[in-house]
Amino acid sequence: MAKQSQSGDAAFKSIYDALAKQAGTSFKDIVADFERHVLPTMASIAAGLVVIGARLKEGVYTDEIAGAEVDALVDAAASVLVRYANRILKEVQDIINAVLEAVRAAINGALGVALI
Amino acid sequence: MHARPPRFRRRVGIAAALVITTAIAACSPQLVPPYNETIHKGALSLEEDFVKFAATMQQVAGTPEAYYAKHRGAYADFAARLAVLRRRSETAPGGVPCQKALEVSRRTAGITTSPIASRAADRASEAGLEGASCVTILVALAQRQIERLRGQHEERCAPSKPRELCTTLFGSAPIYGIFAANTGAGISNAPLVSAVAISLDELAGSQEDLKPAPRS
Repeated sequence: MAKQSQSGDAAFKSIYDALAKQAGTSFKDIVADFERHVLPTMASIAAGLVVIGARLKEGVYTDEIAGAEVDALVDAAASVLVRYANRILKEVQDIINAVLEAVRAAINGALGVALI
Repeated sequence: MHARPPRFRRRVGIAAALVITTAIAACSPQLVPPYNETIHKGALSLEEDFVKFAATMQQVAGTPEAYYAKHRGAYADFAARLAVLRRRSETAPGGVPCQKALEVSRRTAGITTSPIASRAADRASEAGLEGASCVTILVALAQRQIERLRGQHEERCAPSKPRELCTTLFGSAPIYGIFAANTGAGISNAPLVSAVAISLDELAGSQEDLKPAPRS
């Protein structure tokens, strides 16, 4: 009984370690991506709004033209957000697969054969 | 009560292991469609050609060479290539609806505190795109951007319109500031063209994010 408990603890630890390692990598990548890409791009999109506002005020742009350009900036921001959301999905997938791989290895280890 | 014989316990253990291994083998998640080289190369090529187009237009904006009639073919080409990319993304296997991920990123990143980000998040969840993958939504956004630019080009770069409307559409050279962010080139003076470039760049980048790491 004690031997089974020890091997169970070892298996759990290996699975937990795999989760922690992958989650740490994934989380770091997502944060870096947000700081390095999402925020600066959103800032430049916001700067574009200032340009549009100035041209509208100066009378260079009509309301329709300004509206079309603002819509374009909003769609650009949407593109940034959608790509970031896709990135998060990918990282979650990697975390789950890392855990499943660790579970697979633990089961094979417990059985003594590469069953899966 | 008699204890179960060891042989029986072993058989139960093996049966349980088989059930668990079958379940594990079946539930490997595919939250995003796998990397698609066709979409990646198509998006990169389209982005490059669009930036070249924008650079050319910057040189001629405000002159008769910039009139929309001379450039219909370019927009038709961009639209056709995006239609093919959309088809590829819609038929790519795997992936969950992007709306799920958008909800998570809204909550974790807190990005909807900004009005434009909130509108952007709503834009990505519009009718007609429910159930679509993130890549399909990116293609759809790019399609809308190109069509919007086409319409503005037709409207603003015409003989009857002030030159300034055309020059403010395409901005002034050089093209380096088209993406604005992180380029050190300052604020783009062609917001709409920059917006289109950003959408195309995010589409290409979405495949870059999925590209498998090279084997060492």
